Amino acid sequence: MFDPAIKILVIDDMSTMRNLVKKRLKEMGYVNFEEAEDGLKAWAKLNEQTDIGLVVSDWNMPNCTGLELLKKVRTDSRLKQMPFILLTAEAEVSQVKQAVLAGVDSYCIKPFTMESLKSKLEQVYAKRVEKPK
Amino acid sequence: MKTKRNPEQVEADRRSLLVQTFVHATKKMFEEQASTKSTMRAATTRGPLAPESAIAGYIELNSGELLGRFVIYLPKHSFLTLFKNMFEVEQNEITDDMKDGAAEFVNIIYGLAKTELNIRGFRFEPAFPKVAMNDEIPKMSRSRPAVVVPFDSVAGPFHIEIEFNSEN
Ligand SMILES: [Mg+2]
Repeated sequence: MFDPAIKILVIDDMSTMRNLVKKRLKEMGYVNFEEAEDGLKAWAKLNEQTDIGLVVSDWNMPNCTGLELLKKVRTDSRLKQMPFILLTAEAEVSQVKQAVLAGVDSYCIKPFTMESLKSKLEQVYAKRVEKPK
Repeated sequence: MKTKRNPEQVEADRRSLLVQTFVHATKKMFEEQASTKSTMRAATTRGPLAPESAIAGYIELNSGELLGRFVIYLPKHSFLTLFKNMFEVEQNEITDDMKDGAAEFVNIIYGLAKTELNIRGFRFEPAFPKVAMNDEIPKMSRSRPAVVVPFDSVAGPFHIEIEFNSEN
């Protein structure tokens, strides 16, 4: 697993869902969180807080979607290696393909469980350790 | 040789597929995200009065053309219990910051239904759910024809409505 002290940016337009995601991550042992309610606010936080080490983002949000945020992150010279997980109710094959093309590390579909999210984080960590970009 | 079905039958089948898909998505969402099993009762058409509900989450159904609206209506006790089962927060009243819980119910139900329906030829896009509470509920437009599906669950009863634009 990632270092439990890693700062995780949790992004979702629904505060109840952000709280649930943080709760699940806490149960996995993570302790350090930042949150944002859309891609625009998340982008600002990513630029202000250089210690963010992992992003778990919703897709469907006003102002700037999770996919748009991912594209911005992947074209930014400082942020392009950021581990990025989409946690979303958008589950169509065409959407998963778009996200993969944009460089998502993993894709977790709502409804989600503690186990499904945990396994996605572990996959991302394993990929990053085996093949550091 | 294919027999040509009349347009009314095609439309009836399309509506029936929409209803079945949203019923299935609703059951799946509560079962998987809130560990709450539910069973549907017989579907009916809508009567003139809104049943007793404290909160309603809804989303426009637009598949290239506006088809109608999906709504979930929840009595207070059912909402508080489902909210607790899903978000692990216990409350005695529905506060403003719990409203987006109802929106998230709809968001996940819509996502599940959209994925299924788009495989079957619909063209639903991502959309944003909205929420109405208390006095706002009777003010919601109820002029469209709708299929009403009541559910029973250990969290209490609730129901969904799939409204259809009459011109479709
Ligand atoms: Mg969202």
